[in-house]
Amino acid sequence: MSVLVCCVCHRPLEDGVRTIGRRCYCEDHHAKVTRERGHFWQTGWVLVAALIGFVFLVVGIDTFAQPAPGGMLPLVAGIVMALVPAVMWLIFFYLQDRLEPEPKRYVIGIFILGALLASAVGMPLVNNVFQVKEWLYDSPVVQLVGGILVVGFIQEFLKYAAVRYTLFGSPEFDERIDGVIYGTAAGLGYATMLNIQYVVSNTGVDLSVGVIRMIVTALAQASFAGIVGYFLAQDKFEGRPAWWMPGGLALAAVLNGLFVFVRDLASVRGLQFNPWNALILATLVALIILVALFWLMRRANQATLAQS
Amino acid sequence: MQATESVHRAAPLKGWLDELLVVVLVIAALLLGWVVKGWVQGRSISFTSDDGALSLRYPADWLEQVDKDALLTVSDIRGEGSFKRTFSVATREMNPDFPLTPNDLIVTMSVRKAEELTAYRILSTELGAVDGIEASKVTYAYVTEPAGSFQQGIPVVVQAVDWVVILQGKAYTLTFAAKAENFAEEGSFHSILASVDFR
Repeated sequence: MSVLVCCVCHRPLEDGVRTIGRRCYCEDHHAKVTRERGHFWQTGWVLVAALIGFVFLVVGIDTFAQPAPGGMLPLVAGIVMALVPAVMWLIFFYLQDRLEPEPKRYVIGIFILGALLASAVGMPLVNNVFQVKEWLYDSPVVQLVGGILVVGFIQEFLKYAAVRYTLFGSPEFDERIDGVIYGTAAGLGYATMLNIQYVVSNTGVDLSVGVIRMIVTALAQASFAGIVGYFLAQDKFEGRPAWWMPGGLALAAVLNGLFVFVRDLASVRGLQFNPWNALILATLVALIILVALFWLMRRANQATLAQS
Repeated sequence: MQATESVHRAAPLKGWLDELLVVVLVIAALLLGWVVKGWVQGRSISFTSDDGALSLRYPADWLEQVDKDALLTVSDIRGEGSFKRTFSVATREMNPDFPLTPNDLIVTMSVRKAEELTAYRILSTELGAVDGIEASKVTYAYVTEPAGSFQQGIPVVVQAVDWVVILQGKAYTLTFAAKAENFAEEGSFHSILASVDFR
């Protein structure tokens, strides 16, 4: 005899079975997922507080320990710094999946796959085959166009592939928001490898500047991939026209190129390096994309609820 | 249940056309990117010595450095690593009373470099040609400080090659230098050398 269980808490449902789509909920969780509330803001503020705490911790270590450049401490700290924001953002995005949280092993698996694709395919293609550092900074126009065509498309296609050729066809990919959740997981995996590369290639980093840069990079990469994931899910559940998915990928690639362009352009004025300009502008760009992404996620959740 | 069906009626995979369009788009973007790369890297700047006896082309994104001992010194300052690829060309008048061969010049230059450069080692010497003119080539290595005063890193092993040509009473020395581990892959040096034109 089969027993119905709540898809969130997995407790048996003896009476008062509530459903959304094919999923069953206990009374408590049905009320939770269908209630309009400041879920985004709650988790958002907790995340911001956690990130600020993390930044202060790193700046404190940098100020008081004053690790010698090139030593092991900045390197190890940098690698930890690459991982912590990614995990925080991953938890934040994961918590937005209110209706039926995805299996954690799948989300972590996609995160790892994103990191592996970055390390095995993306970074070798960008750095060794296209050798972007040799020519990309020739002029602002070249930087923007080349950044979109090469860096943007390679990165976004690999994040797309991490979801499209794995979980896209599985029964777990059963909500519109799942595309965003898995997409951001792939993006955060990719961002982690980019950040680790940044640390390693700079023999450790200036911890104060590095920590902000890594948080913003993780947010931006997750947001671009989230957009790709949204288009993927819409394509699956809404039967969009053939140009839909290429259009979504192109949009993410353009935003990716624009973000890197703004970050790099603002960091150098003449021969004076000013990382804070870059970080402030890049943060603004990333936050605008994040807000757009959350608007899309909200729409996706509402569309699913409307069908229940 | 109507609602259940509507959510799960979603097509498991869209048609091959969607997939094909994505792949075509990515390939097209990368091909365009490759064209931009080729266009940027193909651009070069022409240099002609004051007397017009020597001309050559170097990559447009390399920057000219102030060097009073050379006709021209250019560096790839955007390049990666703690030592930037550098090309320089120097000239000196030959004393007609004491004619020297390129090999003789290499010996005197090597003595001077051994005094000036840390851990200077000659790796090979051989004969060759630049713009069809007989030349001597010496490949050597030395150790130097990493670029950028703010970096505290280990010293860099540099590999360099001098091409020495004697023409119309003048000796020309064309020097290429790069980090030793990258030296063998330096396609830009071959491009510069191929563009050298003695008149």
